[in-house]
Amino acid sequence: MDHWSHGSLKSSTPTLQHSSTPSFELISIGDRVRPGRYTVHSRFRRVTNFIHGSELVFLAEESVGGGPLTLLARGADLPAIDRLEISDERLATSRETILLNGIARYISSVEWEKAPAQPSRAKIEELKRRILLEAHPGSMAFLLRHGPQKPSSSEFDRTLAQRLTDGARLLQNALAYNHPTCLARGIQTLKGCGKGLTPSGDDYLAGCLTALHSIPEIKRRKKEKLIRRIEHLSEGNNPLTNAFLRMAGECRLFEPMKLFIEAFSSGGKTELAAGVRRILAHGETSGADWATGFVMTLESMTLGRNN
Amino acid sequence: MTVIGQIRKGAYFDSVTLMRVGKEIAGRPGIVDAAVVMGTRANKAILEGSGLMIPSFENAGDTDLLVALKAKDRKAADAALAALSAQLSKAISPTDAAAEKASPHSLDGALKIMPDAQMALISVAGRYAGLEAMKALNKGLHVMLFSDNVPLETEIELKQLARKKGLLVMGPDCGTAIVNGTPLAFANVVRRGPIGIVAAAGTGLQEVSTIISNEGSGISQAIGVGGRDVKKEVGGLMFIEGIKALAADQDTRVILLVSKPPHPDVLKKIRAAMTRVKKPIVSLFLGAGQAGKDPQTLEEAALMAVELARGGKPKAVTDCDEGTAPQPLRKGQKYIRGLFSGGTFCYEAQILLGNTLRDLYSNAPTANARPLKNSLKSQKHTLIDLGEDEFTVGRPHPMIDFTFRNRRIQQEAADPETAVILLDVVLGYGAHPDPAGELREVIRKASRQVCVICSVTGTDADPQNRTHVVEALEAAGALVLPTNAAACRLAGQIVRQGRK
Repeated sequence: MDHWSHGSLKSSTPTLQHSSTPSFELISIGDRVRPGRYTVHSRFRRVTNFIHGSELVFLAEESVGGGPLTLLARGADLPAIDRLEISDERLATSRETILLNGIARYISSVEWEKAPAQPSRAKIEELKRRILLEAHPGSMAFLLRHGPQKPSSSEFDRTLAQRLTDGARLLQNALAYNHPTCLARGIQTLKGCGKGLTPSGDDYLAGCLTALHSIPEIKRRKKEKLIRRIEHLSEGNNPLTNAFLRMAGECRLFEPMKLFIEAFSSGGKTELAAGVRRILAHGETSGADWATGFVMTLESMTLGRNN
Repeated sequence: MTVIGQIRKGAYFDSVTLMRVGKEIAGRPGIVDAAVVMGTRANKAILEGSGLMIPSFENAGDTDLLVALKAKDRKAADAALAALSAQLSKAISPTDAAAEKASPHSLDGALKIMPDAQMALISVAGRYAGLEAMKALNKGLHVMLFSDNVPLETEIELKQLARKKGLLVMGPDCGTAIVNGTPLAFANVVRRGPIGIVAAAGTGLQEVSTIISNEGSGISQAIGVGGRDVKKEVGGLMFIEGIKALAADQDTRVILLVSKPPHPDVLKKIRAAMTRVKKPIVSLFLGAGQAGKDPQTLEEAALMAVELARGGKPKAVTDCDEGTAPQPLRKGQKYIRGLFSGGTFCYEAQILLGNTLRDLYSNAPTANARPLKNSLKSQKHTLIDLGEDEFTVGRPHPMIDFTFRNRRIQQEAADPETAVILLDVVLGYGAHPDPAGELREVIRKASRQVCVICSVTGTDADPQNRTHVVEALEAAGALVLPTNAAACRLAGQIVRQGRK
């Protein structure tokens, strides 16, 4: 789809310039990566998260895909890299320096004005069906299922599922019927709720923020005010989720989300299925949680009364 | 009742790892409930609500990991906490990077560690896999390309280069191989022996290699080439190179070829290559062989190869009586519902059952079956390949994760028209470590309503132990047949008998 193409990487294989032969190849750098001296915050198999004050960057293997805060690398020995020094011109680790001139920049913005108008109910239902079909059973996608949920044998898991259900219901009611108290309660209930370093509730809120950006029918000022409020209420003490929510609030999207939005906008069932698969492969449950927040918000806002 | 907990600072795990570890610990004796979560305010409220909160958790921050256990007594709680600590250490905890440091991050790095390597196994995202494979070929290495989604033109380019250099490219999307006795990727622990295999069908290769091993013979080499190799565009490049390699291999006395039907032009080339080989060859091109002359099933092909390797004459295995249903079918029960984790098994089932049953549907149809309108809903006789992309993108393969198939078994068992549920259970490296444990409960419930028939692909030397798995499945109420073909024949017999 050419109307999204500006959001893709500018070039697939940039020429690498470096002061000496580097041990890894830098494929792209996100458009929201800020200069600074970063130290390790947390490590995962394919990604190391670095922090500098409230700023974060992610050094990731190429299979993860680009992102606004992502340094996408090929062949990097991630466990061996424990600091990053980023300036406008270069990226330095404790071992080497890579010049950034010529490195592709990942553009994370989306041209929403080129997105089609309000999606049909049938399309939203198809999206829900696809997510439900393929999402990890431990994700928030269970909220899309009609009828009673299968009870867990764990009291903790039952309480967690109930809290996620309550939070999502409060938030979606608030969005559909413009209820500020419900909005705050819904966000407070969801925020930080779930297992993992980026809890499911926070990913759901990020999906909700992206969906709000996507709805052209909401007046611009109202939309901005609503997004800022959700962003403000969602902020917690986890710098990682704060960074994700800030990016979602600014509508700066990671590559799997952009591909998903492209697929959702393109109209075809095949493209939609591919887009859903791509987003569900993002993180362990993060993509599914994000997609659940996205589709539920879309449903509330387009089928509710708040537009 | 005892509740104990632990705060672990600087320990970061993804949600699925925490779910898995929590579930495993909660299943230990004496443990009532367990949770492993980040210390956010919301999670603390949930711990409180579920009776897992302890006072020290109040001081934990959003990025601290909380471990909470509710146990019948202190002894069970302490033992579980120790087990949980071990589990978390074992899980990929990137802060403990020692294990990863031992792993090279580039082909050059790998070659520094093992300079005399002859083969590279490549498993990276498909769009980059071609480049890595090209590097490996240029360094004189054979390539096993586990990655899928490699562009067709890249595959052709790689295979042409490999042929020029006298090397093999196994794949893309090559899930299994056995090279010099070493099982690679999804493969089984089989005896070494005189039979060499070339296959463009992953689970087909696993089935024939394990049948051969279970029959007391063995495998010299098993070369997977990827299903696309026998398509017109690729022209069987590596299938033919594989035949040549086995023809030249001193340890190989009999060659066994397994594939779904190649393109007719490719089949001609393969047959031409076969005529140039002096060793006996058994070829199974599923659905394309001549009845009475060529083997029709994986089982038959494997047994023919064993007989030839022993110096005997191959015997036909068709038309044998596999048995009957353990109980009569109820009124209205008339259809087979096959839920396969192996694509070749689904294909073979369609060929075997399509010859005798009408109204056969599949999400991966052959000439014998019609396309299923909705893969989630069975129609009449339905054979589902759960390894198809529509089921596997974004979730593990059904040989690893049984969640989706178990749900579908329950769904089919609840359908009053279902007579037989047909399942394959694949063992070996890469497959689920305890498939019987995953299936036991769901088979126990389903077999009260319908007849559950399983085939088990594997050997007793596999990590799961075939005999143990068979015993556990039988104890749960399944009829376990030695091969997929036998399971299909029995399923067919049962529904035909039910019609009479």
